[in-house]
Amino acid sequence: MDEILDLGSGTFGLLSCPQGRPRSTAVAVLNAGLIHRSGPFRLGTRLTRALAQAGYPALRFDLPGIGDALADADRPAAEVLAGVLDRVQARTGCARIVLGGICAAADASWQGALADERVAGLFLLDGLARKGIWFRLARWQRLLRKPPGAWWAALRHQLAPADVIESEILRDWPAPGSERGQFQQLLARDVQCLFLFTGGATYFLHPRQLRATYGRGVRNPAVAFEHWPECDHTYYDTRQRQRLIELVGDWLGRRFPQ
Amino acid sequence: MTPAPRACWLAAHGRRLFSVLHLPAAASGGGVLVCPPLFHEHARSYRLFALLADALADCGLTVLRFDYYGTGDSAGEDAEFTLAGAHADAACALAALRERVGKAPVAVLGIRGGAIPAAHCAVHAGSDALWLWQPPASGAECLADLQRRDAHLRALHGYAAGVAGDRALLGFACNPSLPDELRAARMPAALDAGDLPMLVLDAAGHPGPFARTQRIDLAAPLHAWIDQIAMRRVPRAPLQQLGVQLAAQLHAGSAATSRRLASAEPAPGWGSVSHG
Repeated sequence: MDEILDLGSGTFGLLSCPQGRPRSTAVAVLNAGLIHRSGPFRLGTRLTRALAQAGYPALRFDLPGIGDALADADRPAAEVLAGVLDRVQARTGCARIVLGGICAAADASWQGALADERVAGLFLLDGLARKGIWFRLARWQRLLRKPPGAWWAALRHQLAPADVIESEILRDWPAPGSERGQFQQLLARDVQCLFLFTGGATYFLHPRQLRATYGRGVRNPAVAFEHWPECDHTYYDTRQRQRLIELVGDWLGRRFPQ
Repeated sequence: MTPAPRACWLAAHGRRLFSVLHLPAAASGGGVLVCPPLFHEHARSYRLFALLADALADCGLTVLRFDYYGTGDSAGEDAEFTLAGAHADAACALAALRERVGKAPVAVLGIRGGAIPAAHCAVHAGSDALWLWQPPASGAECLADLQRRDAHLRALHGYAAGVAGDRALLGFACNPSLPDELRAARMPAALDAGDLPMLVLDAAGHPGPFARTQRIDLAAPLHAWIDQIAMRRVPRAPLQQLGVQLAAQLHAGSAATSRRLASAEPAPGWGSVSHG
C-alpha cells in the first residue's frame, strides 16, 4: 500500500509500505531524467510496489524542478537528498537506505552515497562508464559484423564533425579519473553496488569498460554487474521491466536480507 | 502566496486514485478538474500540467489533478486501465472537486486522449465548462494515432519490435477491451453537450474537428511536446499567461450561463460560436 510522505519544502513522495513486518533497509528511487517519480512506463511505481511486497519500504519522489516538486532547487542536491533520507528514516525507522534509478537517477544516487553514510547500497541503471579502448574495440567488432556498405557509412560518420553531444557533457559525472577514488570510498564503507548497463547506454558497449572505468574494485564481492544490450534505456518492453524488477528484488534479497 | 500542491487519495467506487490538489491563496473563485492524457503522453506532459495547475491556483482557482486507475501513482495494474473506468474515475474526481469549491463554477480540462473521459464527465456528471487541450477528433482517431506511433517504434527499434502487439500499446500493457472502447468513444462534437461552454486549446492553424468552437491558440512550448523526442524543461511564462486567460474564461462563461438562465433565453453555447 502506498502512502503519501511529506518531504518538506512543499514536496512529497509516495512510500510503498510492506504489509507485514518491514525489513530494516529502505529504498529510494530517484527521477530518471525529467520524468516524474512514476517513471518511464510506470516503472518507478511498479518497482517500489514490488520491493514493498518483498518487505522493503520503498520511496519514489521528485527532486526539485521535476514532476510535482514545483520549485527549482534552492540548495545543493546532496542537501536535498539528505533531507529526503531524514524523512524516510523518521517514518520507517530504517537507518540503511539503498538509492538507485535510471541515468540521471544513477548519477544523483552516486553523489548521494558519497555524501551520506546512511546509503548502504546503490543500483545504478546506465550509470557512469568511460568509453576507452574497450568501447572502441566493441564498436569495430560490431561494424565488422555488418555488410561492407555499412563500413563506408561508419567511416564517413567518424570523419564528419561531431554532432553528438557526449555523455560526459550531458550527465552529472565526476571529473574523469576521480570515479575510481570515489568508488574506493564507497567500497571501504561496504556500500553494495549493482551496475546494470542496457543497450540504450550508447557509451557502454563492452563489459570490460566497467573495470576500465572503476578499476580493480569491481572484483570486490560488494559489486554486481549486468549487461543487457538487448534492452533499451527506458525498458520499453514490459518483459524487460519485469526482468529488472526481479533483478533488483533478488539483489536486495541477497545483499540486504535483514 | 499560493500554497504548495497537496497530494491526496480519492476513493472511487472501491478504487484508490492518487490526486494532487492545488489550492488558491484566498477563497476559491472556481475549480478545474484535469483529466490527463493516455499512455506515454501522461508522463511526458506531467510537469506541464503540474505547472499549469499552479498558474491557475495563482489566479484564484482550485485545481484537482488525478491519475486514472491503473496509471501513474494510482492503484491498479497497467492493463486494468479502461475507458469505462476512466469515465467513472473522472466523475468521482469531479464530485470531490465540487465538494471543495461549493457553488463556484467548475471546468473539466481534458488533455489529448483525456478529452474523451473529460467530455463524458462534463456532460454526464455536469460541469460549467469543458476545455479540450489538443483533442483528437474522435476515440477512433485517438486510437489510430496511438497505433501509428506504436507501429513506427516497432519498425524503427529492435527493442520495440518483439513486444506482443495484441497486449501492449506504446510500451504499456494494454487491456484487451481498450481498443474497442476507444473506437466507440464519442467526442463533444458528436455528443449532446447542450449549452455546455466549450473551449479548444490547440496550435494555431490546427482547427481540427472543432473549427467552430471557441479556442485559444497555444504558444509553441505548450503544444510541441507531443512530437518532441526528448523531454524538455517547461517554461513558466506562457503557462502563467494561459492561466489568466482560462480563469477569465471560466468566470465569463459562468456569468453568461447565469444571465441566460435568469432570462430563460435560448442558449447560444460556446460550442456553436465561431471565433475563426
